[in-house]
Amino acid sequence: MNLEKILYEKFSYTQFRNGQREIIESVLNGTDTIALLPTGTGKSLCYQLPGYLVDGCVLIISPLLSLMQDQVEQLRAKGEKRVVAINSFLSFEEKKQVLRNIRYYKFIYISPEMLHNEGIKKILQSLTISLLVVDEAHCISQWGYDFRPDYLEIGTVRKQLGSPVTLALTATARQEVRDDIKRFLKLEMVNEIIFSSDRPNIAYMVQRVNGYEEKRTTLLSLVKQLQGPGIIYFSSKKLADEWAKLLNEATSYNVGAYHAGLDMEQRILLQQQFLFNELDIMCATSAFGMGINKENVRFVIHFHPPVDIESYLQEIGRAGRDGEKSIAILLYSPDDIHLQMQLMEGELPNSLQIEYFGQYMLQAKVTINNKEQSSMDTFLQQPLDGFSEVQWRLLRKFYLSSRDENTFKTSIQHFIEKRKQWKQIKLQEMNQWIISSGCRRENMLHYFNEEKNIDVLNCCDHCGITMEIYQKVHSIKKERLKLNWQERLQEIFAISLD
Amino acid sequence: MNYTIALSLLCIERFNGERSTNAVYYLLTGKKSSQTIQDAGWYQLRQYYHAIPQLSKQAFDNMIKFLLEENYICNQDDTNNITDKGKEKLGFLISKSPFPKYFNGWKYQQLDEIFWKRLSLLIQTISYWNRNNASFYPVQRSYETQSWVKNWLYVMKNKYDKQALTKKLYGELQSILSELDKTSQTISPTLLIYRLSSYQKTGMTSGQLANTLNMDEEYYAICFRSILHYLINTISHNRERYSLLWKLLEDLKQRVVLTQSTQATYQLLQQGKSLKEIAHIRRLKKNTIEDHLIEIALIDPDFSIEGYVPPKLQEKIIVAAQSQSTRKLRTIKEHVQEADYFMIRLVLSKWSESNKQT
Ligand SMILES: [Zn+2]
Repeated sequence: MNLEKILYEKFSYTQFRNGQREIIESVLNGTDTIALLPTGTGKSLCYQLPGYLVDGCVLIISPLLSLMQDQVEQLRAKGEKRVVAINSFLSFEEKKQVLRNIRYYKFIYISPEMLHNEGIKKILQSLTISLLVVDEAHCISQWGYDFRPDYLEIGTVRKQLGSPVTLALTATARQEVRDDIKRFLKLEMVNEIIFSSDRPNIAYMVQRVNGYEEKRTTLLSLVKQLQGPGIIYFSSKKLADEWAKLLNEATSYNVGAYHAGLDMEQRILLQQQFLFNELDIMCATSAFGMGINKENVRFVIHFHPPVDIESYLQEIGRAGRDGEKSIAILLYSPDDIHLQMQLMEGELPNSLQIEYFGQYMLQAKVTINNKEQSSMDTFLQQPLDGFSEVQWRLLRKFYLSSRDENTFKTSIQHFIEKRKQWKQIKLQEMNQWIISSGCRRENMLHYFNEEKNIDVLNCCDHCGITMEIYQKVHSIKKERLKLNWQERLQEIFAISLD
Repeated sequence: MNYTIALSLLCIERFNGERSTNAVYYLLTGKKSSQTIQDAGWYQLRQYYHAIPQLSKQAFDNMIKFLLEENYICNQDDTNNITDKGKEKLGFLISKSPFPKYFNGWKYQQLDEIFWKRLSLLIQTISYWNRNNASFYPVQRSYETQSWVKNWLYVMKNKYDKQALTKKLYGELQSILSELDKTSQTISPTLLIYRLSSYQKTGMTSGQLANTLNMDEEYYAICFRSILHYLINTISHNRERYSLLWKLLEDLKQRVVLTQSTQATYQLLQQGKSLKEIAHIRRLKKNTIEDHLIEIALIDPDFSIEGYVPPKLQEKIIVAAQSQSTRKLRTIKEHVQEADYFMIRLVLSKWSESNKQT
């Protein structure tokens, strides 16, 4: 079996990246595997390639709808037709059709809540699943920064599917999280393949400022100097929009704004423009980045510190996937703590939202004439206005597993209280990292119980960075767009009028 | 927000204090309920139905608050009505940004969306195909659209070679859009063409294009959809001339459909059951069944109401509504004592159906 040959034929790469081969060999040997690979180093290849060497299908459980869609399209773009995603984007009819043809597919992506559906479970049981993949496996742990109660039941489903060979993938997981992954997935003999979370080609820099005004001027001058492409993370849609506008006018870069307030079509277009280098800079909220395979991102700037180190590491991991020199800059002002608190609380549903959700469901019950589980399920699939996907999933999960409205409210409120306390600790750890002295890379590695054992040139602002190497090499000139629909139409169809 | 203000003021003016403020929201976002369908019909607002589907209730409520504060509307009998200042504002906004004449939210609700999804993905696919490149990220992710395009290409490949197909589709688009360009001063094909993605060139988002053209985003969205409505309308009337484009619409019914519950009632009605029997069979209140009948009268031109209101009485009701220029049931009833409220509603519905502009 020549893995390199398949790597080249199916994925057009000539060699494996760090860790990929080891993980692939482990699952092909039939061993349950937990793999920890840093963000941006080609996790998905670790289950896509084995797919071509096994008889049965690969079932991938993935937490985010948008991420799932991106992965499906990326596989399709590589010429793989036998790939499908089963999630709430499918209408009832479409789902029926997909399930009818399920045997055709090699790669089946599924969202965790779909696994509760008895009909779907039964169909999956009839398949030969050669590999079960749990993507973002840290979501299973209460100690993880992104706990999803839906994930807890994967272990049971795994047994029901006959305990196929399982690969749990994550980018960031401390020991206690890895223990949870083993426990909840009911994995007994496990091969743990852990790679350092360090990405030596990314320089870490924290830029301390005093107050909002100074932050503004700092960001503006940074963007004017730095070599693109880049991502700038903001804490709100409004800020992302405003800054995209401002930077479009003040710099020679083409700048876009990406956030959850945009409809699906606009989001796809913006991702695409960024990928094709039609946009140089994306002003984004944390909604942006998952599932985007852009190799040449040169900088990631955070306008505000995130709420935990894991999120930060994940977001800056979008820089430098090509291995070239890149920089992560965090703008920090002492009063940011208030905003971080707000952000942290905003991840979970607040009491008003819980109340609203409860009332909405009461009304919904009246509307839904037949109160079968399935119709309630469909009813709850898409978040209402004003709820994030994460909030909605949580409410949904607690609602469906509660006897009545009161149990629902008490249990979710209890959960949120506990969660907030936990997040408070994570927040402190984040801020500790920001203000601590000593090498930032080393401190970050210590957080994940790792040691820094290589010397990195341009490591962090405390060790010293030569800023010049991240600066713009040549300035680009922005062309003014002349709109002519006739010419554009010809261009689309490659029609030349001669 | 400007154009939402314009359309809300317009609806409030038409409702003339006879309908609640929420009715405006339901109408503009295209709520599928008998009541909203009735409002759209009675007050000749069908064009504006479903004009701003993305509008959130919160944003709407905030806007109403703003209109009250600015005295563009005022409180009147538990609802709001337009003020003289509001009328002036409305006139100003509409003269600055006229409502596009091809737009018909009622007739093309949802049809426009499916049409756009198909068109944009088809053009992207052909653009890549043409350069012998089959791998790209599709601009539309819906399973339905993707399988439709796949199928379309599969069928067409047997009929045309690559070059001929490309040329023909280009020709049809070029011709139909040139005609739009000639006849309309305000709506340019630019609004649509630059949204399209093609080989190695991504389309603009609605926000980006509106920005580039210096247009209010909501007004842009309506103008954009009005081009789709123009296309759907023109293609359907010239099926031979635009035979490739017609394929995008062929299998789509004009989706002006009855709400589900009303469909069930209609089936029983067509089996000859009386209102009482239907209420009994469906275990619904008689009122509810009556609402369904109103909806049917508003939507189905073949539905006859003679069995419920004698023709003489129908005429009397219409005369009363016209002379009092109102849709207020109580006022009409004062003039036509022998009619009950259901009869009046039914007649007004039927009458507005036969008067509707298409
Ligand atoms: Zn360092």
